[in-house]
Amino acid sequence: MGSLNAVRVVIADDHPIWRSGVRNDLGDNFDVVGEAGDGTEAVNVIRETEPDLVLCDLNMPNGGGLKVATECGQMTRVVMLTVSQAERDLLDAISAGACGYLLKSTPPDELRNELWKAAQGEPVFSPSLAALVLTEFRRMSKAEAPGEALSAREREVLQHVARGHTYREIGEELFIAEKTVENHVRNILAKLHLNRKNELMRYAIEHGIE
Amino acid sequence: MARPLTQTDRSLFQATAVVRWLTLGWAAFGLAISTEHLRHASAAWVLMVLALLVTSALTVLLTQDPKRLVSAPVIIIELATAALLLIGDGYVYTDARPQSLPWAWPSAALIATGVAFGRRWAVVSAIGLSLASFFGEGLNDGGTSNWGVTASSKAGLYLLTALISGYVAHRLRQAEVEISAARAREEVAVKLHDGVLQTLAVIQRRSDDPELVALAHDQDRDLRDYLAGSRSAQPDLTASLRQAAALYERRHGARAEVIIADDIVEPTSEVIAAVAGAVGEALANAGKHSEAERVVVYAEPDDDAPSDAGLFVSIKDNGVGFDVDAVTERIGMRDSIRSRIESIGGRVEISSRPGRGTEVRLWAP
Repeated sequence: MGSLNAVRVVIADDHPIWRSGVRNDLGDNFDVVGEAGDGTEAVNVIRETEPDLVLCDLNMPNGGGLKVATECGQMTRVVMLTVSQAERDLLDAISAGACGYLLKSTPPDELRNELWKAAQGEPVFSPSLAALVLTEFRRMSKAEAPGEALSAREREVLQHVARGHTYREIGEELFIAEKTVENHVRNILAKLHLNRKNELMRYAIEHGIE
Repeated sequence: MARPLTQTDRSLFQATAVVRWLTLGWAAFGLAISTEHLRHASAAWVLMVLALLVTSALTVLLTQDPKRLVSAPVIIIELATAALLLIGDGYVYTDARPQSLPWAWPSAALIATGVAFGRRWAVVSAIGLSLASFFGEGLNDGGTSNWGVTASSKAGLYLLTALISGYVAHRLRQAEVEISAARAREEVAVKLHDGVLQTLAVIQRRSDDPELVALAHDQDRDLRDYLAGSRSAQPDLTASLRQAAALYERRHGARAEVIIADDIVEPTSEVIAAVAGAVGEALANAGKHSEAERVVVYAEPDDDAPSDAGLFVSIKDNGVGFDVDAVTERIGMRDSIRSRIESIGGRVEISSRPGRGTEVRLWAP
């Protein structure tokens, strides 16, 4: 049992040993209210327990993390915790509605920090994720693909994240409030989400998929 | 000693079979419209029938037992037939002939040789066929004025065919190997993601034994490097930076994350050496002074650079930092980082504040 204002978490992963490991790592500030071993079970548990935060593996049976993000991304914050660094997985997760993407190799204290921030509504962005998103936008602008481009400031913020700066450090360096940095990151995510959705729709139309 | 046929070989042999039939048809047509110039008509038709038999046999072989197509006896029979046609060419016609019996059919034999045994043997065969062609022209009665020219242009054509077919077959085969290697890696990656990498992640999280954790971490990194694929035998930028990071991790027991945008233009080996050296020095500095738990090495294309190959690299730690104005630059920083980067025409910036870590930024042209 966590403390009174602990973050209520659901952990979804098909490996029980991983779930218990993460539960141990989370500590007192988090209260694990449910666990699930596949996508469908996770969605059910989340609907039942209405957690503040979902910690979810990407590759699970029955729909996996993408299903969880798609179906629950609106009602709670879904953070992907995965071993996959594949760009495709990551962009799919973000466009499905995940608000963060962390690698399983993230050290425990950093994991706690990031998840705490995610529960407060901050977008969780590992540097490698930021780098991938930057590349994606650069690719889009070079290909002159339709879609919303990043503003100069957003690009700057994203590049700082990729370089390993914290939101506080970015705020200090760019002379803006930490909250403003967060807002920029949120906007970047929204743009990526939108562009990605449009891209998938265009692809579907072009290839005659319903 | 036939080697196994690849998909590329099969496609090339199919194309060659088509070439053989087309050139045979062309030769028969040429013969049919120039019968009045024949000295030895029956010999001409015997040669045509021989070419038809060989062409048919090779086509049957392609559908029944394609790996025999790359065996030496089959290739030699085809080349010998080609040589016979070229020698017979001079023999069967009278002096003022408007047609050449078989000039195109032998090029198919050269393509087959190139595909089966490579450029060198194809060239050797081309030289052999050219000699046969010279010899054939010499047999033509009356010694025409331009026989040398005709034979030379054929020789040139054969050499070119041999060179191109050997080269194209080689490159196609190389591409095929690369594609299948990439596909195999992808298949392995899917398996590893759910099995081995998962297990390594669990070990890194659950074990209290720092050596075991370090081992799992190293294996994790090696596997990811393998999955990412080494693009060339030359040390590329990614491999060099990862190596520097691995050295730092081993020496200082801290984490170094290497993040490289996948749209960078691979720099020259000179730039790679300078940048990797400078990153190594920056990491060594972080290890000595920063007490950082984590360093991020980040590289992306420098959009402001004059050339497409411009590169931006940042090395940022989350350590104690220092007051840049108060601390005169350490020798290590100045000599090893700056001199390396400036030697390739780049520049370096270092920013730090107490409690905010240190960041070294490099721009390479």
